[in-house]
Amino acid sequence: MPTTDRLRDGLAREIGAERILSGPSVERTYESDAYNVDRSQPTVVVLPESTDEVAKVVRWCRREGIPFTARGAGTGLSGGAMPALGGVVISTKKLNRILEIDLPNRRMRAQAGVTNIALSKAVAAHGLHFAPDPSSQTVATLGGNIAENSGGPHTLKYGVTAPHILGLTLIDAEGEILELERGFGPDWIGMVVGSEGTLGVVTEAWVRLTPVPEHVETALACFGTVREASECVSAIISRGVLPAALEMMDRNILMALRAAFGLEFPDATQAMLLVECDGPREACRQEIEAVEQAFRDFGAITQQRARDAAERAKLWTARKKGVGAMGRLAPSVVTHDGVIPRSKLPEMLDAVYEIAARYQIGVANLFHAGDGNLHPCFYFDDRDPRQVEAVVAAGTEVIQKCIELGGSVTGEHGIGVEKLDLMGLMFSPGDLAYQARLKEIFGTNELCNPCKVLPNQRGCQEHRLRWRGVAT
Amino acid sequence: MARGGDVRFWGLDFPEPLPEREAEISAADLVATFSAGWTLGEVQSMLRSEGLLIPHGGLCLEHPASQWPVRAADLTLEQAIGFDFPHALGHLYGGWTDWVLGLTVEDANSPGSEVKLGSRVVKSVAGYDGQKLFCGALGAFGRIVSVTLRVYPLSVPLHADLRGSGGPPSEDCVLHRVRPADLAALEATVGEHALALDRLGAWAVYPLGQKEDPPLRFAGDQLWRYGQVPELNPAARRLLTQAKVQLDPNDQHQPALWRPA
Ligand SMILES: Cc1cc2nc3c(=O)[nH]c(=O)nc-3n(C[C@H](O)[C@H](O)[C@H](O)COP(=O)(O)OP(=O)(O)OC[C@H]3O[C@@H](n4cnc5c(N)ncnc54)[C@H](O)[C@@H]3O)c2cc1C
Repeated sequence: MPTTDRLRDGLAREIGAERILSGPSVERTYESDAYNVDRSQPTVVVLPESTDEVAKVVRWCRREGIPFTARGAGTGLSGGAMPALGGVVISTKKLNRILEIDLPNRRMRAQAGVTNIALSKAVAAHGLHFAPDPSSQTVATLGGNIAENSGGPHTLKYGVTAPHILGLTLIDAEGEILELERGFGPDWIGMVVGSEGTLGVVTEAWVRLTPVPEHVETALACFGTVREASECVSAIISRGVLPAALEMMDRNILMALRAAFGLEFPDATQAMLLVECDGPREACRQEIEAVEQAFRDFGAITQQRARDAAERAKLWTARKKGVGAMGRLAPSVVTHDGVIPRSKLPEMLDAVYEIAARYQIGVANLFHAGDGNLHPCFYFDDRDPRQVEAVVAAGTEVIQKCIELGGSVTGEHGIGVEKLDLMGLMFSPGDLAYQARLKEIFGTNELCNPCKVLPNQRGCQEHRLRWRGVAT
Repeated sequence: MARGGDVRFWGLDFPEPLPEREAEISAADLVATFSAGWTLGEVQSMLRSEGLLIPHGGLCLEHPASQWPVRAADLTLEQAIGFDFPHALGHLYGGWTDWVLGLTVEDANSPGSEVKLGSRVVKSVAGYDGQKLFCGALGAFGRIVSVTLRVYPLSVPLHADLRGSGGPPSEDCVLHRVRPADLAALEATVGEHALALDRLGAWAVYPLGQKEDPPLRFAGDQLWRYGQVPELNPAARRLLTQAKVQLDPNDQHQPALWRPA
């Protein structure tokens, strides 16, 4: 890898010295995202302000053979923004402008570094919003949402990020500026969304603006067994109701919430379901009544429905503060991400508890039950190497079970570097070779966010021990 | 004749589906897998008996314009995906690219070997979403062997509000999902011709005039033209060329398509 000075000088000629950061604190800040098990430091970080500047940086990297990795807010949970082979991190921090709001056509053009919440705030007065709502939305960026195809509690009804992207500007791995739009022909946008920044750098996008629903109903129920709650999830959907959100929390999460925030629930509660329906008032009322009937049919101990916005916010407390409360359970928490067909939830949750018990580690579950998107959180003491080992092994077993039940190794956190080894559980070598060819369509080379998504890429294996900090 | 309802557009042939046809529907998961060869009509009736549907306007709506330019029911599933067959409920439920969760395709590089793309669950971000490239590719990247779809409960509201003529009389028509703001202008321009539109979804179908050429003045997010294969923008054309090199290097599938003049 060329020296920091050489990189600084070369890039300074392209976009100006003031847009380039380097030094020990920069290296530490940008060495990982929110998945900090693996780390790798960049040589420099650049802060371009426009599509042209990003293109200049990428072309320069290409000419010089320097790896480059795009980065938004760094909230990714699989190591996607970690500069695996060092080189240049292209931060979208200064690509932070909303460029055009087209209200009649319900769309907005924004730069990739704008936060998810800022998109919605910009049009809130007009009764519109950007529908994808990851829990990290106050800081996570549009570019990060696009790269990870992020979802959130309301994905069940409104979909993940992909359907909300109408067009985008991509600097491909060769430094070409591609304007992609929804039109006739293959869905190129669908291919770029979710590609974890490995097909190029997104600098701008047109996003779809969705009307804020006319009416919302939110209900919550407590169940005496996890099985009743998880069977109720399938029943709600089978009865023809498509809620906007259908979330589940188990007893361990609730106990943490009780300790941290005084959450109240009946002592016999083993699981809680939170369901939100939205749409035209009458249809919405009918849907929530059908949900409440399902609660009763599956033996809910208690149930309540929000009467106004304040009560709705209260009902959402358990879901929204759950991750924060987890800190009370143990020094360390690892959140997994896997998907199963939702009808398999009862069997899957039985397996999660059995696996945790066998490895003697704690587990709590709070997740997007309606999508079958599981987030088992293992809590443990990371100062004990045996517990760390147990958590890693238990996590792999959970994901193996997801695949056995016909699911996916990830529903929203992505592959990054974390799940490289698990891709082989879901895809055959032939499938993976085909995916490598799909990547090549974008002229992708080994410099553009290297070592992510596909396992066994050339020149990556030997770096894996270094990322874990165990290389000599 | 195995090719669905024998629909043919733009002179493109789709490969004959294999004789064995299979279907697996899970109402609780809102997911269904079909092998190639089923027509959309057949698929909808199988789904209906399970209380499900694909919210494809072409089938859900009775208005004759929604059946244009062919009865969607006659398309095979792989044709509907290959054409990314448009419909009037996109504003509510998206289209094929949103419904196709996974595909099994034949690798055109090594005929006979099958490749799995995407997943069989409603949410997955594992790997590259190659299944999306087959939506709208007109079969140019290879043969689809089976399809896993996200489906919907029969009870979902279907709000398309089609009005206008009984469908355009002329052969060379366009079907257009325009920008909502352009609807009134579009109506004014082609109003005297047959026009059917859905105000809510900003979806319109109208004939091309003999002399005037209105549609491209209303560049929308989807265009379907009966008389000829629609043009691609430069970026899409560039990617398509590269995709052919990667996925169908011997140009066995739809060889004459989108070839530079
Ligand atoms: C507390 C917490 C809660 C979360 N909740 C959710 C949730 O509910 N749902 C969910 O889906 N995820 C969730 N996440 C994960 C994460 O927030 C999302 O993946 C988010 O979209 C990442 O955005 P970011 O700006 O932080 O991207 P980063 O972490 O900076 O980057 C993520 C990936 O995107 C690439 N990238 C970033 N910008 C660009 C660009 N402009 N062009 C190309 N590639 C780019 C990076 O290279 C990297 O591969 C959560 C994370 C945390 C820490």
